[in-house]
Amino acid sequence: MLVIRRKEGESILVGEDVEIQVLEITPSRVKLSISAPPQVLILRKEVQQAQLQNLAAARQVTPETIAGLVSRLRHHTISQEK
Amino acid sequence: MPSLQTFHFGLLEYAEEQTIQFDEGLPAFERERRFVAIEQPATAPIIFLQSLLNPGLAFMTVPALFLLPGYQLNVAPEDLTALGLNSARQPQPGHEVLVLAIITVNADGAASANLLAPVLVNLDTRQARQVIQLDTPYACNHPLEQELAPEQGPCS
Repeated sequence: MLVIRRKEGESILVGEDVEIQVLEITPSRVKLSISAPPQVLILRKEVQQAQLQNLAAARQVTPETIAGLVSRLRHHTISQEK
Repeated sequence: MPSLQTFHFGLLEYAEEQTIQFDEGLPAFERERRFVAIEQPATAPIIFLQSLLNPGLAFMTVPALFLLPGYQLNVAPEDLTALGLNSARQPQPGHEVLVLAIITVNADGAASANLLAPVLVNLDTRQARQVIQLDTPYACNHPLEQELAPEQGPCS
């Protein structure tokens, strides 16, 4: 892994046609501008995480699994009311 | 009344008010725009989001407030605007918006709910969007077993 320090306005080149420029730095965030060919997929990592989570959630489940889940969730309510 | 083929309940009639519209689909399911929210007495509190396009696709969800009564939203203004909501403040779960956490059941039977990226449904317009929240204490794999300590593992 490569770690580089950059200031506002400075850039990094990745390969021949990807440029990442630091536009703005605040105490909590940096604003980046990314120039890349259209075939290069650029994703916030959280979006990829949501995709993986949704793919796992979309796996088909059996009626028994659902029944187990329902009783677990209902138990959850009862224990909260105690 | 229109009906649809569901994965869990066979052929079901549904009311137009049960359909929700994801203008951009969901992450990894970008072409799935229309779902029907199905809540059956036998499986409550689970709310199934059944795809109208694909009978084999149904997400199990549960209201975030059911899991955590103090659940608080921290949704980005652009997500609120996309849902036709006031972007100047957070919407109230259960009043202006329905907040649903998608449930995942792993191969070993352990179940978790995605409280980090819930599905928000605008209750006026039935527009829906899965929003990825920032600066929130909630996990994408909040365990549904109370006896287990919350896990902080990777989200997949």
